[in-house]
Amino acid sequence: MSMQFNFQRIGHFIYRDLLLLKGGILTSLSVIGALLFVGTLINLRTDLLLTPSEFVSLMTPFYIIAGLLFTFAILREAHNKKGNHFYFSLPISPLERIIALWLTTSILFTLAFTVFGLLVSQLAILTGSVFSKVDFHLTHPFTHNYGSLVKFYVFLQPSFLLGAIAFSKNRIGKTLLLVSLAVFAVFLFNVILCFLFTDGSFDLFESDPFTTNAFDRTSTEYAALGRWLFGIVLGPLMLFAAYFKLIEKEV
Amino acid sequence: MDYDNSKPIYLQIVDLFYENILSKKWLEEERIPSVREVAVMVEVNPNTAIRAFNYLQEQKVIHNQRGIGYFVSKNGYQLVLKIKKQEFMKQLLPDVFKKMGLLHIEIEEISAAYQQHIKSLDHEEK
Amino acid sequence: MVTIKNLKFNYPKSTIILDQISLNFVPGNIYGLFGRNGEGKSTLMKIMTGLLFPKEGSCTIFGESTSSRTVKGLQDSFMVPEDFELSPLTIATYAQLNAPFYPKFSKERFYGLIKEFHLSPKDKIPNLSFGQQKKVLIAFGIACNTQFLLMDEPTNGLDIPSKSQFRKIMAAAVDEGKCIIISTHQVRDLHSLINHVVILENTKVLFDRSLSQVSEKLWFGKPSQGAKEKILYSEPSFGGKSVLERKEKPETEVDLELLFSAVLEEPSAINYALKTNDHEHAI
Repeated sequence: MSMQFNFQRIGHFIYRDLLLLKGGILTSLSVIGALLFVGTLINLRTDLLLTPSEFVSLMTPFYIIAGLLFTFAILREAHNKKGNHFYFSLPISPLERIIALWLTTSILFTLAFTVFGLLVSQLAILTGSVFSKVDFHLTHPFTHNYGSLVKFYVFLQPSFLLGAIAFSKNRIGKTLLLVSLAVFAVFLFNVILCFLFTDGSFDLFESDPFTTNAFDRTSTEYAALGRWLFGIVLGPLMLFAAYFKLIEKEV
Repeated sequence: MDYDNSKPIYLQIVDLFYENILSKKWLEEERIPSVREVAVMVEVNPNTAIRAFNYLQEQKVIHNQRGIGYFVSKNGYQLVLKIKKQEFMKQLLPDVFKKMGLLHIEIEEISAAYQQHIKSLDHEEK
Repeated sequence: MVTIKNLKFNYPKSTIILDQISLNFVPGNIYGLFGRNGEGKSTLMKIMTGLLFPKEGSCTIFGESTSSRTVKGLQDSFMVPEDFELSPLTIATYAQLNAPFYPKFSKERFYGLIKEFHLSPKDKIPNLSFGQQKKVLIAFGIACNTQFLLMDEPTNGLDIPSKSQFRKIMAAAVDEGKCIIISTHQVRDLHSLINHVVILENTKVLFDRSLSQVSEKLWFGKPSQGAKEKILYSEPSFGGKSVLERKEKPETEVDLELLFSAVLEEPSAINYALKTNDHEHAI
């Protein structure tokens, strides 16, 4: 077992992945940085203040999109017909590999992106304070929204990790389809749950838009169960599936 | 090293050793390159090189000193001279005689050519 | 040791490429893996390094299935494929990134070889020619000091001086107790190194013998007229060479190209000649 699991190897693998993607990471960060910088400046124009929740909503789209693209980029080597022989014959066990991939694209990415976003926004605030009436102030991401955002990303991301490993062509499109199907399936399951628990009196075609209705009821009455299901399907289960996909991946 | 297509490579390596000993490049009781060095030098599988070393040991031209390496035997030069002379008399000469017969070359012609050769050699030395 | 037993393989929705393959690869040898185009040589190598999985039968390294890609197995095998792309890095960065995964990696050996191949650690890999990139991968593979080294057409793309360097490197590598498996069509480049021949044909192993066995029993060359030994195969061209039963004739060097043609044309005659002689020998 010690042979098959080694933290140092995981570290080397993370370092290897990051260095191989260095160019792409730097380019993406400069684009995102620029957009975030402009976004912060625009936000400052209205009330001269960047509140933590404003900061979080500013970074949300960048965080999600960059994270998912990063997940696909990190596995590009595994699908390169001329390069994946080396990738898969590298002495690292599948477990170490999946842990390294997940740590990089989920935890490390979240930490690094948050710090990066804060720095950029802080820089924008500083710029604003120099060139306009904005008073220099510090912002931070620690709000309820940020917690939900990270939770959302961490539970959604494994599905994309799975897609990035499993599909070799049109990886992003197929994964989006897969995730929408999974979401729809869970949603359907929740609807059925509602239907069962309300003894059939629950009507899908009530005047209310049924989605809101269904989710309202599930989240109020069976909130724990519904959320648990979402979490399980989109999170750990997908991570598990990704691990098995990695084991059986041939070149 | 260029290989003669029909002669086993290990025997070609043996010939190379003989040449080195006859030309005094390798002196008696001096150490010669290791199996590995020979294999790398002539670009062959070490197993082939080992065969050449074994063959030369059987001929007593070289000997192995455990842990040190291979050495040309004390009378290695004389041995090689004998072997090569025999090879000349038994293999090369009959071929020459056969060709002489085919081409009607008399021994006197050969003798004259040989004298000429010696003369030109002397000339060169001067 | 890599052991293959009753292995069967086909790509998805495709005909069978390998069937009932049983082979054994032992350290200290250089195996030549031959076969016509598309006979599954590269596929077999990929199975041996755990990149493809057998459909039936097994392929094991140190007793564990190669398809389970154990760290132990992977740390002791390295493959240089025929066609590949290396990461767009400098040679030094490439080594720095990948070497930590191979515990027996030798930096000195790697940079020694890089120098021998007239490359510089600062060279950017994408700027190198294919032949030069191949040298980088070969140097890296040798420096990894894996017990198994598999090479698919290693001399393709190498210039003439590099081929000689390559042979020297291989001779030294096998002396260190490595097991080298080379698939090639460029027999002339490597015939002095190979000491065991495996020929794949029509999904099967048609031939699997050490060259010392072959040179002991078979004779290669142009036979004199009226030779009484049985001719097993003759090249069809005028003045072509033949394979004969050796019997009492002096030993000749095995002509690998001739052997390959002979085995493909007259497999049973060749194998029978080797086998019957085995039998006589046993008595």
